[in-house]
Amino acid sequence: MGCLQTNPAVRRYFYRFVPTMTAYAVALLIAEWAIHRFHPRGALLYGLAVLPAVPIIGIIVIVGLYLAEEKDEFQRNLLIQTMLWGLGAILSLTSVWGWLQLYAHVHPFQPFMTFPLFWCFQAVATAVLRWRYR
Amino acid sequence: MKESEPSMSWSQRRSPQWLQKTPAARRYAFRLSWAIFAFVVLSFGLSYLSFHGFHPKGIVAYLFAVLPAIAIIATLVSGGMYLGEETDEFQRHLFVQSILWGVGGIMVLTSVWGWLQLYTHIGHFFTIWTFPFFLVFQSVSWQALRWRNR
Repeated sequence: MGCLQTNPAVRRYFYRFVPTMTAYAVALLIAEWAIHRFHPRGALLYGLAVLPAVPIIGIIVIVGLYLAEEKDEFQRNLLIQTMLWGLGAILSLTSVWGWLQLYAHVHPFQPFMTFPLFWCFQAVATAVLRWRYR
Repeated sequence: MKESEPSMSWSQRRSPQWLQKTPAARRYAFRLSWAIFAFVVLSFGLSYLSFHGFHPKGIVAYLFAVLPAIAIIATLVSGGMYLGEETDEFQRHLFVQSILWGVGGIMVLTSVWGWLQLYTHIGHFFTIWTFPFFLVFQSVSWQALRWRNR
């Protein structure tokens, strides 16, 4: 956690990331509750479905801001590498799952799980790469 | 007869400045083309087999399902190699930005579709399409960013 105390770009990243991720969770809960409670139709239903996607855009912008602000090239490359590993893992998972759905009739993959799973894979890749470069 | 310039390729002579590629970007395009070709061949091959009644079971089904994912990993490895080889930091920055837009695009699409799938009669999102959609989002944003910063 030493880097969190010394690097202003990482600190700003976390100050932005944590509230936006919280906003994502809150938006999910609000959308879920409102859809079950009021059974909206048409434009309102589509609006509620789009609601959790707004913080997702925010997260991507925050990552972009961090990459622009981070002066340490090693840290920047580390984040890019972990994003690529996370991306590779989620795209492979969805592809394999899709084919298994066709061949082995496995349960359909819920598409909204892509975003949380991507960040799980990215977190694992971060831990592995930080351990490797310790 | 006019002598052609041997140092310039056909694409370089015909392309506007902002579309011209660095040597690293050309290598990336070459590797990416092969990886996409492998993905398309494997995907169409598996679809063809599936439509013709080939439904393997157990471990064989899993092995067949993993095949296109190898091509997906190859495309991302080629992206990583491009970032390692590209000497122009600005071009690298544009490429990373385009990956972020690609990730953002696919996350928004799957998230919205997932919710609509649960609460409306919209068809199931076939997850095989995640990778092609990512490639489209990333490629379009890369060219858009290059054009904007031409």
